[in-house]
Amino acid sequence: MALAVLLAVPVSGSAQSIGSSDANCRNFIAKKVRTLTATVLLEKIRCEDKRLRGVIAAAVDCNDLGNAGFPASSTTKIATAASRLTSKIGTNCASPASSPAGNGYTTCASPCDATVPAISTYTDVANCLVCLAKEQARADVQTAYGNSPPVQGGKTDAWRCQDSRVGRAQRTYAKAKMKQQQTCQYKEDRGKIGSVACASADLTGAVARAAQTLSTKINKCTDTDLAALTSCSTTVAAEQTCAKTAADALADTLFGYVYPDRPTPTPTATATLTRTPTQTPTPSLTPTTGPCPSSSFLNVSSAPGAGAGYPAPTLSVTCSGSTVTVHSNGIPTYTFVATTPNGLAAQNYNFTFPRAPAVAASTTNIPLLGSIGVAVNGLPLFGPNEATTPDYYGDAVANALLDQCMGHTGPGGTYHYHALLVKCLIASALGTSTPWNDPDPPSTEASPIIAYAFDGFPIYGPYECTDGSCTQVQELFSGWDQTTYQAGTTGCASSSLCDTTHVCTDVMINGAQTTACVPKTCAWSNSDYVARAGTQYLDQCNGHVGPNGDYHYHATATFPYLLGCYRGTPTNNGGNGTPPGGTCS
Amino acid sequence: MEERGLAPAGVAVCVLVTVLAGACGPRPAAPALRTAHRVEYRLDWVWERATATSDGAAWEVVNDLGYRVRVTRGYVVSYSMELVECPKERTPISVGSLGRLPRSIFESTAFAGHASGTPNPAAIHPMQVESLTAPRARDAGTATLAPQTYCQLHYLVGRASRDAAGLPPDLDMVDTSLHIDGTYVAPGASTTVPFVIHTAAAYGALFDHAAHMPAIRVDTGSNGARVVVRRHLGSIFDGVDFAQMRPPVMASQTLKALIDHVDVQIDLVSEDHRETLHQ
Repeated sequence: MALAVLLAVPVSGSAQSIGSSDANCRNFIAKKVRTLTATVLLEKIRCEDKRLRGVIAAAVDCNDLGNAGFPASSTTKIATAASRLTSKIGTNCASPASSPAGNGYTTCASPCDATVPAISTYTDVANCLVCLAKEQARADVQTAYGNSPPVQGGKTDAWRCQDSRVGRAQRTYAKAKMKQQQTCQYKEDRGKIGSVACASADLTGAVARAAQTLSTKINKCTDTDLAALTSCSTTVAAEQTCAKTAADALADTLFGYVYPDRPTPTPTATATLTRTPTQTPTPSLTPTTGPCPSSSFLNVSSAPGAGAGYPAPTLSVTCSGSTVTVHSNGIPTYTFVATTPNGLAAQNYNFTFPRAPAVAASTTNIPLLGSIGVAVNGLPLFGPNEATTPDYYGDAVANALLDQCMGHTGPGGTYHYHALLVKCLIASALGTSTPWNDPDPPSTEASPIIAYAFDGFPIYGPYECTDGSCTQVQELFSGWDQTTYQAGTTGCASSSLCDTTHVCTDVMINGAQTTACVPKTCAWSNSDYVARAGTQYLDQCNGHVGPNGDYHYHATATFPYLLGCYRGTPTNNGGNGTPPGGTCS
Repeated sequence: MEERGLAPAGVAVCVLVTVLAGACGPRPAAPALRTAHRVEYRLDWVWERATATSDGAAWEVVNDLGYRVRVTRGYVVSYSMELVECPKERTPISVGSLGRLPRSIFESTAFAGHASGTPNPAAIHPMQVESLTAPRARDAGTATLAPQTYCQLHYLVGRASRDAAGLPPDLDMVDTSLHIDGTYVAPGASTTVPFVIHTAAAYGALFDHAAHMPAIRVDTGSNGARVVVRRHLGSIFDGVDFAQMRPPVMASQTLKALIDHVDVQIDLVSEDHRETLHQ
């Protein structure tokens, strides 16, 4: 087996310094896109403000710039901000060395490819970015305000919460983050700093301060205020998360558009007799905010495999412009233990997921049955529940017979996981046929990426740095509380304390990890998501925006173990069955 | 349980002769309607090189690494046993019965929840807690099956639930699949060292063919069957390096050795257990 990377594309806003004309061109574009985005956000917020207070008609859709009722003065201001980019880009990117293709601008991402079908000039680049900035701002406002928030008829508490504590504060945060990204990238482009992932950088701490301000502002809302609105959550704690997540998505996605991959320079011939063939990446305005994640996957060719008589495990990862494809034969790297009556059989998996995941305006249920992602050894992930047998969609970890790496086989010999252990999915696991016997990695180390969900967001192990400098590591906890446990059984040491319809297992109760006797039936009916303040708690999808500003999931010790839902937009890789949505029917 | 010290190979030969005689004897004409038959599952132990202590309360064995091990208390949980339906694409091999079956692999049609949601009618879940210091053969359960061909047997050691059969009074075995208390003496040493093996891990295997016969084939439309899963006490600590392994590793290796040395024997039984499927 070979871990193949067919197209290795450098990180967006790549590390080495570039020419000053290119650096200045990119910096100009970034500044004007930021200004335009902030203007669009502000004018939409002003429109919403007036609509909520009853100053303009309730029928006005303030998130539609083309709506007849959208204030004309706002339309003018947005057009002015856009023209500052479109009219001056020619001047600021005038150097013959600064061609659009040379800076990675070759195609315009959807849906703006309909407006700008081809890019040959910087005017095309500007028109594309104007469209994309408006589109991202639309998605952000959609999250902050929802659809047709109810008119308050005056300056009510709910209006105050929506306008100044969510809408404007979120805009301020997004502006601060975009400013930091731009400053960082300009420094890197000019060689003033080394290689930095500027999409998530916070060189001066301004992003963290802005995040704190956003959190503080929203904290002045009440759950009652939010319940009267149509924002992304009805509780303060969850609103803090979803508002920031949406702003992060806005900034990060636009960063990818503004700083697409630049083509790798063709090496000049020197005394070297053999040269590595130059790979030709496909530059694009399609967001590729991260590198091809092939390096996160294991080279399984050195692994012992499932045992005598089984094929060797195979895994390769390829990246196209916007898609990651994982090819795998589904054979574990370690000894297969038949904990179900299904034999292990080789598969022909071609899992795909977005290379540049983006937070969606709303979450998507994971399927009740079938794959939801792929581990870094090429094996599929399932949700937390089994099928109707042996227990009715019961909790796979609490009830079922998983092997010691938390996987087992289903019909057709398909090996899959219901939970993940880091020690089975790291390089050291490839040196042994029984990685479950290895000690767990120390809890003082941040966990690596151990899987990818089908919406493209990575899944890390349970431990993470608390800040960008990693001064401390903490365990992340599920926000799903067990709600139907048998009374008097919290802290149980074994199921001896349980009646025969319950089983003792690890759970979260009131935000604390403990044990309790839980029903063997439908896992989704036995837990409810409860948003909690605190960086250790994950959102309902079992993810969060980490200290570096990127959204991702974590494997947790309790339900839902991997994903509670998709935060981004998943590809369809075979999951099926009625979506849980908190129930099994 | 077989007589202590009787070699398992000898046992297998005896049974195999019996089975073949039955299989090769005169057969009645095929009935007009295929009928359901009963499958009986049985658990058994073989002492092999293990020997009981004089008081009968414990037993000893020297494992393959040279450790002299004494087991003073132990329990293992037989979680489930089931014949597994032949895969649809597989060409049946007309073998009536067979003897000892080594563990092997191939893709099966099986029932484990997930998309099928259909329990295997051939599965039994005895959830039987068995004593390792008083090992004895026992009937594990019976299933009456519609006409169907089966090509594998799955045996699983897993954790006991609250309602498991045979829960001992002296130890909480709920949520535990294997517990052993004992002592060992390392090779060349004279010091007796106590050990405890305790795990909730599940460990199982699919058995599908014998070295001298190509495949299991149990047609429950033609015969009933008696399935015996036989474990070997003498091999249960093979590969366990008591002085070097951490307790969870010892437990994992003990489960592996237990399963790796399982013999499965299937005897076809004829008309006396037949029940008419189509009345």
